[in-house]
Amino acid sequence: MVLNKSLRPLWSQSKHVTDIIVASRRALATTTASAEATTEESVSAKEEQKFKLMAGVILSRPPIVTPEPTAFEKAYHHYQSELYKRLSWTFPHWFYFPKGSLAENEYKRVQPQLTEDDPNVLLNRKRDEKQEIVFPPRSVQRETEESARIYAKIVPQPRKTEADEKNDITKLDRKLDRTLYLIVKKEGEFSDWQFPAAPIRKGESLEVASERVLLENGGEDMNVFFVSETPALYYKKFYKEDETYNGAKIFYLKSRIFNGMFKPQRGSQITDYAWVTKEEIESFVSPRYWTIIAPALSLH
Amino acid sequence: MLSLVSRVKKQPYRLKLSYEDLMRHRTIHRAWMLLQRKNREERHKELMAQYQRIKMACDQLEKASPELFARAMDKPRSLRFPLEYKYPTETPPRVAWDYDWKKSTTVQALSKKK
Repeated sequence: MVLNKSLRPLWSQSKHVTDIIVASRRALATTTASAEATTEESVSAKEEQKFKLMAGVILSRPPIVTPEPTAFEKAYHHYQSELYKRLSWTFPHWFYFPKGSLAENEYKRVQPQLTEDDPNVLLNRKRDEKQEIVFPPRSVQRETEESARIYAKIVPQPRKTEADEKNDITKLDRKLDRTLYLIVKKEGEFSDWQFPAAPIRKGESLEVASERVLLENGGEDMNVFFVSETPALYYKKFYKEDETYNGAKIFYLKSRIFNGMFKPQRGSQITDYAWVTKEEIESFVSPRYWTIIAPALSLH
Repeated sequence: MLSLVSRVKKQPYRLKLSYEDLMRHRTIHRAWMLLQRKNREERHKELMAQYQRIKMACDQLEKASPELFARAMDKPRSLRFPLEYKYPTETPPRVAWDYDWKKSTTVQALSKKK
């Protein structure tokens, strides 16, 4: 049964969404068919499997700087600004430099004088071109320390920092235009690189457990904000040699860091940690883990 | 006064494009629209994939532990974002990242001490 297109919500009206819906419906149909066909033995075997419930954290540093524009975007922005200048009104110098003032004299002296005989020129501006405005330089004679400080030209900070040059992955300064994710390497269970996680204790909710995970692993000197109390990612792993559990089910919560830094705590068994972008995670993490986490992370 | 001079004297000439110029302008505009569409669809796809992951996680949580699921589905404790959640700018601040931030120096921690 396919709903009438106008009745369906907007997000489901594109083709790739309908493909996902159709594929998932087909998958459901096959699983229900196979479930009905299972024998009693396999059902009891499934019931016997015990999984440890764990809470994890996908801690990310949001981008501090806007994304780098592509060559086409730069060219387009330049084209639009030139068009805007061509279509702008003549600069109203009488408003900024009052008539008869010294400032007006300074301004007029600096402007390129256009011949008034040219029919295209009005108010000292060529009307079929963009206006080039030349501003007079600041007079140095009456400059004081305070005025020099106030009128000093603002020098913006560079978009690439020291951490970028050294490519230090433990620093949060790096790659300011991208989102950085925290991955951690521990002894024992977490011998591969993963997002930090720990078993949920009795009486804890997911969020409380996740906050505890961050405290135990990274210390309290991190200004962290949990985006939601609902899990963003589910990861199931199987244990090979464990007596009590067949495996673990990890539910990850997403959070953001704004200040402070991750300091590996003494009892946390952390051997290494890194703040990396989405593509860089692929080279650290196991292939199966990557295929599961990749859709939950953001592009920028 | 800005309006000291009439608008007609301040306006430049109307932009008259030749056929080739017009074609160039249209091509540029169409290329831009195409890029915006591509970016929009990419963002939409990303959101869709993230939503599927969230849905999967919530479904599995419901199966694994109904109590944890109920607590996860509760209303959030506070609907306020922190002040430090800033929108990205074109250039970074003078101190790109505050490594020396300590929880003990926040307003909440200090007020609790008293």
